[in-house]
Amino acid sequence: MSTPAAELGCHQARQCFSALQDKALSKDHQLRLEAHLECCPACRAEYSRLEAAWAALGELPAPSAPSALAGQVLKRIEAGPRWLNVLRPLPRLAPSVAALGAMLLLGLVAGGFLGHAVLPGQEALAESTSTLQALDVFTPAPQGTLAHGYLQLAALEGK
Amino acid sequence: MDKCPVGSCSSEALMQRVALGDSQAFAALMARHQDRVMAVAFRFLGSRQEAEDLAQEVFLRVWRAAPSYTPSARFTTWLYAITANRCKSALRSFWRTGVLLLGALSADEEDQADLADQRRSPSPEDLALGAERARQVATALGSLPKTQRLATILLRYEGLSYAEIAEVLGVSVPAVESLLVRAKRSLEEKLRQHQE
Repeated sequence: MSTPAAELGCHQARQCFSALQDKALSKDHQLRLEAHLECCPACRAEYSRLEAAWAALGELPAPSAPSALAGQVLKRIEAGPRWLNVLRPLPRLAPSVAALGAMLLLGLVAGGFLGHAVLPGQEALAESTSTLQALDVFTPAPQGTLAHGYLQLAALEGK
Repeated sequence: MDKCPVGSCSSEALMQRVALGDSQAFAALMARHQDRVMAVAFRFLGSRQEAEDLAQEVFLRVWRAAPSYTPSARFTTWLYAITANRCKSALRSFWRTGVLLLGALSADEEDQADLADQRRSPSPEDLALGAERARQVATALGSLPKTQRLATILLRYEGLSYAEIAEVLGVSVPAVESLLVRAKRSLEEKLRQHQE
C-alpha cells in the first residue's frame, strides 16, 4: 500500500504550497501535503521560505486616509454640474418618465440625422445637374437606352 | 424607504440613500471605508500622495455609479472592484510613467520609511531595520505584475477569500490560485535576493 506522502511528488506538492498557506485546500489534500512535507526536507525548506516571505509582507504598513478626504470629495461633487445632481435620482423615482424622455431625445437625434442623410444636399443637386448637362450630347437619346431612362426619370422629378 | 440612522445603517442601505443624492449618507459611507481604499491604493502604488488622489477618484466613482448599484453584490466587494480598476488604470497613466522616469520613486520610498518609523520605534537600530525592511517589501511587491499584486494585497492585507478576490478581479477561482502561486514565488525570490 502506498503511503500518503508517496502520493504527491515534489512538483505537485509545491504547486499547492500557496493554497496550504491560505487554508484553501480540502482536508484530504491538506493531510497528504503535510505528510509529504514531513518526509521531504527540500520541500519543507521551500515551504518555510515561502512562509517567511509571506510573514515579511506584514512589515509593510499603510497610512490611514487623511481626515479631509471626505470633505475634498464632497467639494468636488458640489463643484460638478448641479443640474446633473438634480437629475441623478430621476431614473429611480420615475423610471417610465426618464425612459420616455431618453427615447424622445434619441428619436429627435436619430430623426435629425436620418433626415439629413436622406434629403439631397447641395452636393447631390450639383452632381445631378452636371450629369444632365453631360447627357445633352446624346439628345435625342434613343428609346430603351440608359440615357433615355435617366432623362425620363429626371423629367419626372422635375415636375 | 425607511431611513435608519447613518451610523447603524448597513453600507448597502447607505448606498441606496446615496443613489438618491443623500450626501450625509455618502459621508458616512466614506468614513466607514476610506481607510481600506487608502490602504489598498498605497500598497499598490507605493506613494501616499497618489494613493490619496486615487481614493478621491474611487469615491467620486462610487457617488456617480450609485444609481446603478444593485444591493445583490456586497458593497465592499463592489468597492474593491472599483478600487482595483482604478489602480490598474493609474499605472497606465502617462503622467505616472513620466514621474517615475524622472526619479520620483525615491520620494515614495521615503513614504514607506516614514510609515515604518511611525508604527514601530523601539530603538534607532530597530527603526533603521524596520524602514529598510518596509522598503524591501514595498519594492518586491511593486515589482509584481499588477493583477498578481492586487491579488496579493487583497489576500494578505484585506483578508479576502479566493472567491471574493475572483469576484473583485473578474477572474475564476483557479485563476486566482495561479496568480497567488506565482506572486508568492516571485516575492520569496526577491526578498531572498535583498537579504543576500
